[in-house]
Amino acid sequence: MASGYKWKVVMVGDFAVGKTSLVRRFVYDEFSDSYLTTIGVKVTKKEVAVSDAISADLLLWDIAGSDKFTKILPEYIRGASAGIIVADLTRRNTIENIPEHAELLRSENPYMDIYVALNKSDLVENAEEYVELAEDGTKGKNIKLTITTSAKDGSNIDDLFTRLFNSLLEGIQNE
Amino acid sequence: MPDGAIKIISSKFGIYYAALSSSLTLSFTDRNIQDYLGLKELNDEYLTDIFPELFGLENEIYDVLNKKKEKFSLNTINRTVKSEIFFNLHAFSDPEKENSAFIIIEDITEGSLSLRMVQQKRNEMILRNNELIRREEFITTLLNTIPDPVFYKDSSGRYIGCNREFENFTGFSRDDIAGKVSGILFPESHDNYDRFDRELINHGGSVNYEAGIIKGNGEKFYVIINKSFFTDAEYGGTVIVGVMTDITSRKQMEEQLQILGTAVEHSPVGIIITDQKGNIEYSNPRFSEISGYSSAEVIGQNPRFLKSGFHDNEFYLNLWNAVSNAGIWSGEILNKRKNGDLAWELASISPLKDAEGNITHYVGIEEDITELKETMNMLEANRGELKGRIDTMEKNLMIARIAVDALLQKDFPRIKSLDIECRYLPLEQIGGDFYSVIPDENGVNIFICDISGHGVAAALFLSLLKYFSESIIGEYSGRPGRYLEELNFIYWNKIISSYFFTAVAGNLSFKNGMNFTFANGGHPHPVLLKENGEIFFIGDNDTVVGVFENQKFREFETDIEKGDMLLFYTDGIPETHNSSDNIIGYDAALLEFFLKGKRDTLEETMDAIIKQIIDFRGETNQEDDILLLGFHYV
Repeated sequence: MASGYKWKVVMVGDFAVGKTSLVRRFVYDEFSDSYLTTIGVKVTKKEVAVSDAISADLLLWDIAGSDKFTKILPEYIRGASAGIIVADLTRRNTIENIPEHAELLRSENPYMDIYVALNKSDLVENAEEYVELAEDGTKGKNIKLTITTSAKDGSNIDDLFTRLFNSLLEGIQNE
Repeated sequence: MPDGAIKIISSKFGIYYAALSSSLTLSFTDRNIQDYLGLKELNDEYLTDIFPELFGLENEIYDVLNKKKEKFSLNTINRTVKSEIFFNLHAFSDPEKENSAFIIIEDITEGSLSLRMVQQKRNEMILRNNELIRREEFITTLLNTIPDPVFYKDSSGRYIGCNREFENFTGFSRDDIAGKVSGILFPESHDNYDRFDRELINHGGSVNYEAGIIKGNGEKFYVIINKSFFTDAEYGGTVIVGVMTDITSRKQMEEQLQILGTAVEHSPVGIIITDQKGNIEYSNPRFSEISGYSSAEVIGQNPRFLKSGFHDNEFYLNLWNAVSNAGIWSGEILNKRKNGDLAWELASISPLKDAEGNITHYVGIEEDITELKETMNMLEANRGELKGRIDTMEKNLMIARIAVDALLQKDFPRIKSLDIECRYLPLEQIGGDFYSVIPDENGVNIFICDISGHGVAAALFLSLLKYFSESIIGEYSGRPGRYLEELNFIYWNKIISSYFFTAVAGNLSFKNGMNFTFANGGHPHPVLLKENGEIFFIGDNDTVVGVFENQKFREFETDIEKGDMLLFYTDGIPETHNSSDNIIGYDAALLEFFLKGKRDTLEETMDAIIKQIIDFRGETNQEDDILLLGFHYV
């Protein structure tokens, strides 16, 4: 299988929302309940099949969680094809901060595909009700997809990434 | 740089380097970097294959290679080799060579792990705080969901917080109460609050009590306060939690029930309340007075023990049918007292129903009418006797009426050139009007009077008056003033003192033409109706006859011409009322009344005047005797 594409995908969001866990679940199909703060950036590569004949390398940038005291370095974002904003369904403020993260991504790349993963869906009931809340906050920010996920039970994670690299592939083919 | 120096820089300071060519390939002179990054033999490797962290940042690197920028850095890259490493990656332009740069790796693992430790603790603390805030919000929401007022206080009795219903109910906000003791918020009841708080802290468990509280707006309410506590080091060891239940409506109802209860207890009628089977649950003191049974003796009993045996089964069947169908029975019933006496009672029985309409109780109310019944029986016995007496009186009255009628003069003396007519309309009762026309040698003596009162006594008085007035007329003929003075003396001195009369006594003399000499004892003035249509009252009147000792009566004289009519009347004519409450009166209206009735003959004139009176009265009942006596000089 030919490895024709390489895409940089950045994961951003407040601290402890599960960015590292999402990467671990997607790349290694693993999950750990213990929390270890990410410092700086950790890049993980995963080769994915985007069609029967073509594979692509996804470079997943797991970026340390940010808040009003800790800002993300712009060079971490630069050159990214897509961004995933991760929020914690059990912490409403992390959902309310999604628009701020979207602004940061857009400031570095106005055409970047942006996805929203509302994580920890295994911990709340009626997780889908939060999708509307998140979408209300990101109206006009051209979010590709807002989806609930669970790094713990794997819900929707493959779906999220499949939608992501299919969209990237489609973008390339359209060029 | 000598290899030794490079080795020291790498091993002691964790700094590694590689050279970058214009094709973005790396050439390594420092072999230590291979160990650091866990890589195998390195030579002419493509930059982003070794450092995928620089993927997408190739333009930045070209800028450095082309000397557009001196430097580009990507900080805090995390990798796991044998263990976790953190490094900063710097690209520097080679100052001595075109299209060449250096890649410097600066190990910051130790500092980053320390930083992570700090970040980790900070983040965990924030998460814990968030969790606390979330729990606080949850508890606040939970408390606000409770529909009763809830508050909590520390061990010194100071309020810590409350729910929204507490704010709504008391009118004090959470901020108002925070840190305050109940003595400030609810001064009327704080002694109780403090006492129960101490009891709760000393003995544990829970307490509940009723209290009255004055709200923020001054309204007084009643509540049940349930208090419990738990230990909490932060709030002085103990937190007291209280829940209020508003019982104001219940208290008001209790007060009303207490008023009703007092009314029932002191009611002047006997009251019993039974359950739906008829067993007595309550009896008031008056019932005990009537029946002789104490409350303790009748509770649980069926009221049938009061039966006297006087009423048959059908009576009781009808009674309960009325209660069932009409919702009430009331009537008289003969019961038996504890001492065996029989007692008549005016009683009523009605059911009490619950909200669903089911009968829960019966209420019996009874009033002792034994004495009333005895009195009524006695009256009934006396009624026959009374009726006999009344019959006798009516018979006597009828005889008296016949007698009075016989006393009144029907035939008048026939005198040439003088017509005499009389119209008399008596009441049903025996009236007190009297008149007489008695001739003497010169003319006629005229006497008309009105006695106070009616009935048999008036009839007797009238018969005496007839007797005396006629027996002395011969002595006082032609001296009407003296005549009235003599009658006054007789009646003041000898006759019943409460009776008196008004009268005109006069002498109509034909000696020189015709003239009329008369005296008036408080009687309506005689009227002279002249042939030419003139009309006027004649004379003046003095006081009534039979009241004052030595009463004097003046005499008046007037000439009567041919065609004149002389009219006498009693007060029944001027005091005639109609339905509009108008009265004929004693003044000019009366004269006009008489004048309207004037005809050619006396007979016609008298009838016309009487008809006018009857027409004026209309549907109104006659209130007094009507007497009209007329003389016409023809």
